[in-house]
Amino acid sequence: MDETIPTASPEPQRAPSMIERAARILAVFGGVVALAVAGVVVVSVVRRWLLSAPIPGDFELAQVGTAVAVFAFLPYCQIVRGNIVVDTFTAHLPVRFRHRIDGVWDLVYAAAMALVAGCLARGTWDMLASHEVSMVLRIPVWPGVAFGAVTCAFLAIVALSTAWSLLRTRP
Amino acid sequence: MSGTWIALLGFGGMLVLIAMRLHVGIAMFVTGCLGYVYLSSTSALLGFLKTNAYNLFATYTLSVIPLFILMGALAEQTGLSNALFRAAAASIGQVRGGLAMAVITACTAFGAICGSSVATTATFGRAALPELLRHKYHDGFATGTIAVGGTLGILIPPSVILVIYAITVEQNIAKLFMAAFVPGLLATLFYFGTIYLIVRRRPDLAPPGPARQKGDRRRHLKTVWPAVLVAILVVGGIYGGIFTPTEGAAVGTIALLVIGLAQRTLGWAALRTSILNTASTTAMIFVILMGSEIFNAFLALSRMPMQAAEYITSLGMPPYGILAAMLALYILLGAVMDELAMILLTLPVFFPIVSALDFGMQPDDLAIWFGILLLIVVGIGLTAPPIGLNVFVISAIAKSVPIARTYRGVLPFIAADIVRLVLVLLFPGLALGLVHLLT
Repeated sequence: MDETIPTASPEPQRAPSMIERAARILAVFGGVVALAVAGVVVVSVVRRWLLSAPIPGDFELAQVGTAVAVFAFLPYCQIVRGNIVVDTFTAHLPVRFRHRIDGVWDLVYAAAMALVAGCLARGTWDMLASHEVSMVLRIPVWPGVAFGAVTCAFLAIVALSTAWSLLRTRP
Repeated sequence: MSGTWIALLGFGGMLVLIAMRLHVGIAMFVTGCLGYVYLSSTSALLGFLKTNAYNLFATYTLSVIPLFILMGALAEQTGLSNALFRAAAASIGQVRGGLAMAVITACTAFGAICGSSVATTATFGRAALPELLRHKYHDGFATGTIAVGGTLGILIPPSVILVIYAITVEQNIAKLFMAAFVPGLLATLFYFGTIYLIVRRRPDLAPPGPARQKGDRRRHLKTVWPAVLVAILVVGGIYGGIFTPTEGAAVGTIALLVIGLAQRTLGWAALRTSILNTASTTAMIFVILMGSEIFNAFLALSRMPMQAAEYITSLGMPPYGILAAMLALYILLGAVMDELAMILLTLPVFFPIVSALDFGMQPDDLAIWFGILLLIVVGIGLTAPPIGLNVFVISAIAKSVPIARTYRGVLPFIAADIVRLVLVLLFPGLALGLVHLLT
């Protein structure tokens, strides 16, 4: 199985669209959150060493932070086509034909992520209703799930836009 | 239709979708959803999806993955990989094949910071390949060595693939990292030996490198200390039980960030590039995890993994025979499949089978040993023709080298890997010894 190599973007060079820019900003935001998670964990480790008093609930912050970061990374991955794709059996097909197939699969991806977004939205609603909070810090769980719903909805839009750019090219 | 047939149909359908260029993760997601609905109900699926993605992404043990990837990206962007290679080249580059050995040395050190083989290959493809070619190394030998050296990114702990294995089979990540240590160093030694034998037979492949200059050693020591310090801090800290793997990854990430900022090797542009590379790699892994989560829920509903395990153990074949057949199958699968997807797809079926076999060892030891065997096989799969991810990565960087030449360069190393696999298979102590010593 072949995979697209993360450093090489197959997209032709052109001015980035609004959607691309938004996905990039979201990814950088996710990276900053990941760095913040690392920072909190390090402070907690140091406090545990020196004062034998770690930050209470540090692992909960790491959990929420990681979830937010990963959700924020998803749309960017689709923009640079970083997802693993098998090229073994289709490499000999004409480029235009392969673009058609990829475009159709992007539509499938968009539909799947729209489904996930919808389900996460309902999950958010349930958690709001049941006032679900984390074990130690008692922070509400719903904002994290809501963030997931929003980013997955945005990912569906990104996949629609990549599908559109792959499918509209006329011979 | 019985569950087993539905599961087999699901597997087949998914492989067809993957062969038709659907993303691996989404292929698992789509077939998993369809199977889940068939064996259960639509409302059950919708209920499953309501919190599944969030709960998966918010798993504490998984938070180690983005952090390790970020750590590796920062190490590359701050120029540590370059420094490691230059230091290794200055100390052993002057002998015949020395620059290739320097690649392996630098990859070993970098492998203790970076948990991904693709990142390691890409890093040294950029840092070392131009040097090797400048010193008239044969191009296929050079790219082959770097592709193989890249596998040290996962063979030497920390290792993203081991984290995923540990979580899937509910084992202690730190113990798996300990178990990977000796086989990982063995890989380094074996690659050294392979290079030595290759250049003895074909001296024309690798002319001697530049002579060592006075004061080189001290100058290079200055540039590599951050890498060595972070590697010892992270790996040593995890082994010593001072912190959990997630904490180790966080400490390493922050240490590299602080060192990079203090030495002014990390500016905003480099930090942004590190984050974006991390984003794309992390998202790729988590999309596959998300797909495998629903696919495995479907498999569990079908009860196929249990039945397969019962069937295989009822055949009464010798345990080592079954294990060897399984590893051979993994080598074949790894040659044509993405390794992460291969592990996530096969473990639900294969792991119960392995657990049911009697090797006369504790269940935990068996799980750890099997994980290390799997890791070696994954390393082979990453470089073996026709589809070795590391070879693709190096080919994308060295466009002038035909991919067939790289594969030919890789082959002797694969032979060394198979010898190592057999050794760890015959002597489980190579993997388990350090675990027992440290815990």
